[in-house]
Amino acid sequence: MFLDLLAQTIVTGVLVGLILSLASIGMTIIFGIMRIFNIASGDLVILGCYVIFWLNAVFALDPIIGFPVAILVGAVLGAGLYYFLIRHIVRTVGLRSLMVLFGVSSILSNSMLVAWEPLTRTVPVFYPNWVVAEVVIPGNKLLPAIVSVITTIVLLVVLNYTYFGRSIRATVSNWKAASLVGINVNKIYAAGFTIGITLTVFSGALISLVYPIEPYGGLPFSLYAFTIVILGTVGDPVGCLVAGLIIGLATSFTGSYWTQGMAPAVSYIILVLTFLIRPEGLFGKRR
Amino acid sequence: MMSTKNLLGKSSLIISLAFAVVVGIIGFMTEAATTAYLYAMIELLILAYSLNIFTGFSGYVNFGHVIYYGLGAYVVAVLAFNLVATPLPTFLYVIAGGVFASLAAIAIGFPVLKLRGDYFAIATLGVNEAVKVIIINTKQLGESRGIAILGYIPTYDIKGLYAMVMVTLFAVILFTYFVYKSRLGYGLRAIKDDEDVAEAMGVNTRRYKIISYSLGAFFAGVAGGIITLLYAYAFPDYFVIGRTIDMLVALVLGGFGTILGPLIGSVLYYIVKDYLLIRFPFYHQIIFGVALIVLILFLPSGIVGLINRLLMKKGKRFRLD
Repeated sequence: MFLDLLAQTIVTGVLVGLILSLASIGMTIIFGIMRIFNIASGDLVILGCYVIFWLNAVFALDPIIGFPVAILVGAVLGAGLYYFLIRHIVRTVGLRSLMVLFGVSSILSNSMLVAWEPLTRTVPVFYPNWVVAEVVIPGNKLLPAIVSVITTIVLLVVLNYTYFGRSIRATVSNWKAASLVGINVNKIYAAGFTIGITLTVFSGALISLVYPIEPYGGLPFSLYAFTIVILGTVGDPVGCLVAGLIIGLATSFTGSYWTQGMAPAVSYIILVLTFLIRPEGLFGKRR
Repeated sequence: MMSTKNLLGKSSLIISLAFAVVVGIIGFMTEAATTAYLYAMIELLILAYSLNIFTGFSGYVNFGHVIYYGLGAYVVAVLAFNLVATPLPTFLYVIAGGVFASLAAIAIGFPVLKLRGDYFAIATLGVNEAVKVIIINTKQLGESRGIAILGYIPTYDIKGLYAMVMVTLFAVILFTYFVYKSRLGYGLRAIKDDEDVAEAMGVNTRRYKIISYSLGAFFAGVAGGIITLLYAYAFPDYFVIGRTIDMLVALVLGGFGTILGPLIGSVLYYIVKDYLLIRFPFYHQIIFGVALIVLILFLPSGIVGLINRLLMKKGKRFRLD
């Protein structure tokens, strides 16, 4: 009984962690390239959830078919946001970008509230569960976790083995030097921001299978993503994966052995502690 | 130049106080409904001023100011609930709420104020949600139901509460002026310009930040305490992020780190918001998201900054503070 609960907690934690890390990878790319914290991340996650929910509710589409639509929505939204807004605030001094994205977050969450009513909804799709030695591996968490891992691997391959990906990494480490060797930094900004937003919305599509959706529910996801990004060292997708696992396990252990309600608080406390004890993250070099 | 500027700091103070006196008199003369309308405006004014003491002067964006408002509210509710046998005058509860909020600000600020810029802003957001989630999960604080204190305090008395917020408003305006003029204010503005340089020049940045942070928290706690007396109820929605948006928009609209800015910003914001809330009940938050973005992009120093720019163009030598 004791071992069962432990194993179940670990399985849930790992799966949830893998799912949560995808949204954080979107955020970490944006922060790495442009030094902008995407505070609207959680609301974009919720938008991705609604894409899947509505495709399912109106056209009875399976979420797997909805995933490409979510990617498309994310790409269009990301490119639009960059062109109309973010373009004007990159590299500006102070906290203007943070306040602007705070405004974007308010617009997104309230638009969704107006459009889709303040109801808590779930996507009524259930994938078959696996039972391995009395431990249930829920299909609704396994599928998103696998998709999340595949996406991360594709992203890592692109970042490490293509010219485009390498120029993104060069911009992350030093944008001035990158522009000196002939990389069009503005194009990298546009592409990186769009990819980041697309990943965030897509991760929302995955999250819709796991969590209930409500228009105002974005803030916890933003904070989870912040925690994972900071813990896993900003600008480092692999760090995000590891930190995502840590946060997933932490929340799942809190849920199993304490109360589910405290799980977010534990994550926020980890966020603040990381800031204080190791602000450069698990894998960062001390400056 | 410097001397004229200091003089004008005083004239901004006089304008603000005169406004407070006029609004105060109007509030006492009119019927209860108008008083309640003005009460909410004064509350926003207090919150904007209290946020201004730290965020405005030092340039640190604080997304978690509403914690202290909520903590003040809960302290008043808990005290009223537990002291029902020997009730004290309610203003003592409110002051206790403010003191508790400022102590909590010292405890929270001591670690969190080590952070700078983006990291500080994100951390305040995290602390805000953490406090909210902890309160929702604490049985003694009524979990998500909150604490109802109807019957434990003197019944609904809008004029008395209005007097209380007016006193608080006067106090916070005077405090803003004194902070602005004092060594503390100069230190905070030095931090805003360049924290490393300020530290190198001998400003004890850490102490200055903590002092101003807890001062701001005191007034937010008092405002929260009074709202509990009005609603006879403390519940977790006092920690809602929307109230922080209200304060930030009001502050950006008026002008960060000025004496007149929070006043102009809050009054304008409150009237417009109330109008939009009635006209477009579902869209007003969206409109304010847009407003925040437009203000940050096109009017970063607020109305006070705009007036100063116009004055400078006309060749006038004085500036508003």
